[in-house]
Amino acid sequence: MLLKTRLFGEVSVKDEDVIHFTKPILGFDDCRQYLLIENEAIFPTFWLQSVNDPNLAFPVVSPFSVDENYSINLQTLDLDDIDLKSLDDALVLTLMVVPQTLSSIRTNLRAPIIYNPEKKVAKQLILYDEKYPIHFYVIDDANN
Amino acid sequence: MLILTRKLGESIIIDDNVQISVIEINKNNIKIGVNAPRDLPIYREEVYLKIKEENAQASSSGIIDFVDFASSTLEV
Repeated sequence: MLLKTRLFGEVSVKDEDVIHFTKPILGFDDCRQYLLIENEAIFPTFWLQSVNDPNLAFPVVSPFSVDENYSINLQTLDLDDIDLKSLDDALVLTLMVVPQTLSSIRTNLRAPIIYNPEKKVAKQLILYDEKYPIHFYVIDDANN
Repeated sequence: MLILTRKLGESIIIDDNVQISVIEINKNNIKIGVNAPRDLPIYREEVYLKIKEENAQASSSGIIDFVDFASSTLEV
C-alpha cells in the first residue's frame, strides 16, 4: 500500500511495519495504526506517521535523550495489553510539539508512548506521577 | 447529567466494578476515592484536557530545516 503523506511524500506501507495502538493517542481515537519513520536528514528525526490518516504525523523523541534522569515506574498490569513482560523490552517515546518558534519546541514527558517493537503494539500512557511536565522545553533553558 | 446527593463516607457504584466514595469534605474541596479495575484510566479533567490539547499541537508540528536548526542551537 502506498500512503500519500503530508510531510514525507509517498511512503510505502508494509504490513509488518505497522504499529497498532491498543490505547489511542488521546484525541485521535480513530487513528490506531502508525509507522515509525526515521530520517536523519530532518529535524525532528523520528515521527509516528498515521496509516489511517495520511495528513497526521507526530514527531517523537526518546525522553531519555532530553532528560537524562527520566524514569518511569510502571506496574506489570500497564504492560499487559501491549504484551510486555518488562519495561526493559519497550521503546519509550514522547510526542513533540514543533512550532515555527524554535524556543517553543517541547516534548510531553507526562504522557509517554510505550512501544513493544517485537509485537508492534503501543499505547499512550498518562503518568499519575506529576513530576514530569506536559511542556518540557527541549532547546532553551525555559524549563528552569 | 445525573445528580446524586451523598454524605461523607457514602459511595456510588457504576456498572458493577467502579465505586466512587466521598472520603473527606472541606470548605472548598472534597476528597474522592475511586475503586476501579486497574486498566480503567482515571484522570483529573484538566490533565486529560491538557494532554489532549498537547497531542493536537504535536500533530500540527512541521519539519525544521536541519541547517536552520543547527545555527539556532549554536546561538543558545
